[in-house]
Amino acid sequence: MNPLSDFKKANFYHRLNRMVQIVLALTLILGINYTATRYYTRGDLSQDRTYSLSAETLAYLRHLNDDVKVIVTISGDSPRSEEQLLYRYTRDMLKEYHHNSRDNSGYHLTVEYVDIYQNLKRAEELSRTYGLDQPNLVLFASSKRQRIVTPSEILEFENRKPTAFRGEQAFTSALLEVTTESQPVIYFTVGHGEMRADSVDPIRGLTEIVRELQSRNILLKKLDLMQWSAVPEDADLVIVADPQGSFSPEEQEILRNYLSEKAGRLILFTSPGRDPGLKDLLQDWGLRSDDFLVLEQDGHYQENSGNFLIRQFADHPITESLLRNQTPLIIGACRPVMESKTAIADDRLARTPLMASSKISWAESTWQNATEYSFDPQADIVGPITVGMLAERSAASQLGINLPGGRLLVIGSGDLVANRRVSSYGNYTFTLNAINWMLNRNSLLAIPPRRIERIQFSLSGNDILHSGLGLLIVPAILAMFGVIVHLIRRN
Amino acid sequence: MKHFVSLLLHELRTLFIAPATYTAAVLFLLLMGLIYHGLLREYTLNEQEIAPVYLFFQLFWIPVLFMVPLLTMHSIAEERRTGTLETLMTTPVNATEIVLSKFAASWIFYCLLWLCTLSFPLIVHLCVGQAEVTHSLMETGPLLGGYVFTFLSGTLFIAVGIFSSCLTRSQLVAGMLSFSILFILILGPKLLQAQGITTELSWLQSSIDYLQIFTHLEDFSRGMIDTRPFFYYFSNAALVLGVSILVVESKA
Repeated sequence: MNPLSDFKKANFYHRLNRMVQIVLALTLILGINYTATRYYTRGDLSQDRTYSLSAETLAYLRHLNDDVKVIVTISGDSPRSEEQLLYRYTRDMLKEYHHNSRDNSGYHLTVEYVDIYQNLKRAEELSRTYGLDQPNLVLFASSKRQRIVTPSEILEFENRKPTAFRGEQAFTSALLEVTTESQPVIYFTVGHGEMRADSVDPIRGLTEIVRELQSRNILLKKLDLMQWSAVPEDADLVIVADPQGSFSPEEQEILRNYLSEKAGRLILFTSPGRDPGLKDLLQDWGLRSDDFLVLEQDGHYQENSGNFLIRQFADHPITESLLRNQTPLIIGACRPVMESKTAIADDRLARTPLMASSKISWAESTWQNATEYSFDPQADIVGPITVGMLAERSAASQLGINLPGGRLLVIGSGDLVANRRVSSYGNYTFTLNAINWMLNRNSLLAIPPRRIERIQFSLSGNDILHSGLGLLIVPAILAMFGVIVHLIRRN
Repeated sequence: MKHFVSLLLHELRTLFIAPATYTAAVLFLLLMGLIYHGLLREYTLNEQEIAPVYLFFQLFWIPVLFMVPLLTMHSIAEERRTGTLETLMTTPVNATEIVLSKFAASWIFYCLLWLCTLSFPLIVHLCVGQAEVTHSLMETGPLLGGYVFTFLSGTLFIAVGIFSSCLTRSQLVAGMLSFSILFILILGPKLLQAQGITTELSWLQSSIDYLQIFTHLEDFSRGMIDTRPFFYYFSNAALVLGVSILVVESKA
């Protein structure tokens, strides 16, 4: 046999052997990495475990009952520092959501980042499928419904600077909304000239707030108490939106039963010059709303057009963000809503004044007949005048524990939620906060916001200089060692 | 593998007595010191929302791109050029021990260099003495995560350097090859994403995300330790070293 052909054959097989080894090794590496991507874990070594999800969120993620797609249109390349911060915190948080949803059997949460200005094709698809066409939004979508989370829900601001990240609360709320089997149901009463949920009228229409509520997966229905003997069982909240007529005694009784017997939730908007016929109901809950007109003297509490700015708020979940950010509410004519002096003492009843006018305002009793207004100490009420009151009653259980009972929120102006007003100042925030609180939506999630740490060193020029010189020490020591080694080698 | 330790000690000794090593180390520490000093100035002038440790490690790729080629370019290439590799292969050591000892020595030295940067916050603390500054600079989670990342990623980077050195007799070519491969490895996926190519090929997105070294860095330097990068770096370092061994065997 030709030794050369033997050598060539051996060489060929040798090379083939090498190639097979490399291919097998590559396959092994690919397999290891693929397995690693499916079975992995993460640990948080940061102080205060900043990036770890709360036990509540983890529980919801592990019991997902539907696939959830999260689409983020926040751009990481934005020149604005707030948007960069929003992107960074959102991305880091959603990583944990995705990671922790893997333990769920069958259903997962996936996250997609889309730059709607760069990726036009995908942006068009999103607009078509989800109606998502704006930047800086986070969409949660399941097979049942979807929810858009806005930056104002994710970041808290103080003096125009982001101070806290509320992403986990916002994202977990959204997750719950799109995956829970049932939706909250709000009934709007009709039949008494109330403001209408389907009207675009700027003064008497509610379509603006209705649209926001529907985007939050809240089901809205009409309630004509003349046709019902009781508030429907599925009612999570009833809203009486500034009725121009009065409720009959029977209708009032239905609402009283709903509040007291079924631990119902009711929001009543009522304006000056109206008698909603709910005096007994209010009395039952320790409240009264006389047909006075609140008059404001303090220029700081008035807008240029003469409308009122409400700036005094209670430290309550409904109004704490307005208080913290010093955001006023804007309303037109309003009436006082106060504690009733003749209310029967009830340990289980708690009343909270939520918002008030200034100290130099007053509630005018003869406003309907007078052409000029002046304070009458005998008839009028001196300020600050409470224009929004909350009454809560806890239900006693057999074990002597106080359980949450009914809640009644009365606001002395329907203008707050009218189409022309609700998007102004803090009206929208207040209305949503009030509804969420009445529905117990946010109170179910006790997830604290993460403070956004701001770091700035107060180093003097000397400090920086000394630090700079100090940083030269280690390389200098190494250079010295190098020289010594070089000299030793030479010798 | 009984000769591995002897070879390793020999390589370490060679590294520590080579003047070029000290030159590279001094340059590395000067560069990192300059970066650190720049961070101190930046945090004094402007309020920041990111921990300084996080920003410090974001620039890890600058020293890596020049240090790793410098450390590794002579390892096999010089042996081949001077003919000592063939001599070495006639002894009872095998290619595996040779490659692994050179890799281990380079990696140990690389880690020691990075550990020297741990002195920076200590030096600043001694010079400045402000508790809040020290607290920000010495935040345990990000610091630990950042260093774990550098040591972990160093395994792959050094392995790439050793592999480049195996392919040629010229140190210069080995250095340039190592630089190019590292550049593609570190910055390639980021550039692909920046060009929008991954958005066009969305099926590639998850693979690119997995390969994104900056993503790994972001997690580690925040204090989030993920097991996936461990598999990625160790398995690929093993693959590259395996191929290097095959190359050395075929060339020797």
